Amino acid sequence: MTLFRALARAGTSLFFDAIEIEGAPPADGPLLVVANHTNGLVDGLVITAAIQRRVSLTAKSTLKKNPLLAAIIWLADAVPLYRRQDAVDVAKNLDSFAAVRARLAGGGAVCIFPEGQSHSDASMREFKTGAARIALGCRGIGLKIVPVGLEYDAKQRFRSSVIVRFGDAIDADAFDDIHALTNELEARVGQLATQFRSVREMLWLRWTAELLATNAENPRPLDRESSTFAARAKRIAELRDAYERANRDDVVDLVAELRAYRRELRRLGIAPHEVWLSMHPLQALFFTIRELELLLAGGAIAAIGAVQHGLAFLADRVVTKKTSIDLDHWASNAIFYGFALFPLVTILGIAIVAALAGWRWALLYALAAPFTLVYSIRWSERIARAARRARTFFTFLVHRGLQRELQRRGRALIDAISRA
Amino acid sequence: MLAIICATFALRAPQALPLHAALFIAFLATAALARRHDGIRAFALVAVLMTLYSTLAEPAFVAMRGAKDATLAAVDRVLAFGHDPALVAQHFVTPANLEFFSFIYGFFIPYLWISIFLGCVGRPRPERAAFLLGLTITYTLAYLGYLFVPARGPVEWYAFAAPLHGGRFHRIVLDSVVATGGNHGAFPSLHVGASAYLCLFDLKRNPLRGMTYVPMVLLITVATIVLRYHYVIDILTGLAIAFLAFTATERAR
Repeated sequence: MTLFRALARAGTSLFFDAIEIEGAPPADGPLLVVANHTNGLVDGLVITAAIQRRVSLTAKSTLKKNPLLAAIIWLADAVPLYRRQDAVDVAKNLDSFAAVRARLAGGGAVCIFPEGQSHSDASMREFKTGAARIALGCRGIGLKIVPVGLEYDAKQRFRSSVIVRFGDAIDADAFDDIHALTNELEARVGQLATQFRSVREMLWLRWTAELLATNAENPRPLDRESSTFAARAKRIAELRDAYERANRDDVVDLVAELRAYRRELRRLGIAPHEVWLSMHPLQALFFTIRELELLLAGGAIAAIGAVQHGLAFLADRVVTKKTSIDLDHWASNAIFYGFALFPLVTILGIAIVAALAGWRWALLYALAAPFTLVYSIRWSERIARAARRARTFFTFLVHRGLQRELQRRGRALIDAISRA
Repeated sequence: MLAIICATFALRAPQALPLHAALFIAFLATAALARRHDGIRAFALVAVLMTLYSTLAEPAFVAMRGAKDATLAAVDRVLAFGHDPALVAQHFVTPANLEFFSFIYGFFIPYLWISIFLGCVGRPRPERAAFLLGLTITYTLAYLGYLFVPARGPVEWYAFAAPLHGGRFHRIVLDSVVATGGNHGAFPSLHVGASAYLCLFDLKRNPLRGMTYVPMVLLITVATIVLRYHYVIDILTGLAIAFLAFTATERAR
């Protein structure tokens, strides 16, 4: 495994709670990977981590202006692409395309994002012709083109989820027209990532899918919580299709009630599935024992993790906040600055421990660092969820009628959506 | 009950055998009669496994005509290229770290019982069955070791430069060893084997909890050497048993 692929896996597995993969590209032979582009540099990292073979990335030429990104691009051996909107000489793309073709001719895999620019739109942007030009310039080498749909749960949010959907490979030699191939690629990628009319529609459809996923049942224990994002995404796509087919007049009241219910739950700080939280005292006791054990037993390790990595987390958050002006910058900045900050802070910590306590303790510190980093992230997520569940429990304990009312409304909405 | 009876009446091997037979028959009867009651069967199983810890050891020394500490110490010397790990370890023991490792060693008991509780309560039936299968395999194989390779451990075998002098936690550990029948069952290390199995099971099915106890399992392993209760071969065998038990639970899925 290359160093860049190891970094991509480490960075994405820390930032995202789950990276779910559907399908797989061909294991060998010349391969052009074509994907949608909604999460900046993270899209390239996710694809690198998801594909079980070496893949070269393409990246806009202006990234080299940032020394850290220049280092990452060098490490990734990425091919620069020159975009008109960056006010650079696009004639240099001739060399870039030639470089890509050379890698493909050598049996390699190259990833390209035909939308040309990362964005936060609810649907894909029109594909540029670059991918098709590259493919048609590689006739006769058996080039396959794999469409990939990247779908993020909440792309800017730490510990959210992402699905990588690999479509069926397209034989590049079956096409001889650039626009026909571009349109085909756009259609195929569009089928692999759910498209919405607007961001607002996307958000409330996602929330509705979350509501439906509750099945009006007692939520699962925290140690076996949640369906996969892929299952939720499938439900979101079905809801989107149903909403497209529905007569808008018929569903306007339903949509209004959904939004009102969602506002109410957000105001109360209650997650949709916790509306059906069991109030049985034995279940509450078991929950308390289980979560208290983790809180106490894991607290020491999490505290060590906080000492070792807290400064890096804080610095990363501050820098990310300062440098991110769009939603699709957040994850990229968090991960890429993290590549520098976490090792720096760890090395600093090792040096301090070595100076104060000797090399043996410094070695233990260094060996424990990766473990405490992963552990403290997962522990703090779990404790936050447990605290929210406990808070919901006490809210319902104090306001019994509230739970009944929320359940009544929730059940009515689920039934109405299922019928619609 | 069996352990209490044996301890109260200072029963030795020949007298303990009928009681073990009675325990076995009682367990079989419970398992047969409570076929539909998973909870009762789980309780009976755990009760038998924990009782046998205190009652199997002394009969084994009699049946196998003495302890096998010499053999185990010889194996350790081979593994450590001519050194005795327990004797080497004594140079690193201080009153502070002895107290720390005594606490860790003693922590195995609440870890075991909380894990059994969480393993049996609130889990889907197949998962509970898998947990109990692995636990049973771990203890059964360990008890076979107790029976056929009875040993009292480095604490009684080696001539250490000085006895261990700890504080409160060390005294608690010493008292509990006496209460459960004295130094016995060195081979294999159930402290290491059982804690490793519980950790592996959780790493697969409840990863956060599994990760929580990885450091504890490592420290328990070190503690068994520091407190002179186990040879290195005991630890290695305990770990092998844990992996075997875990593999069995995975195959049973």
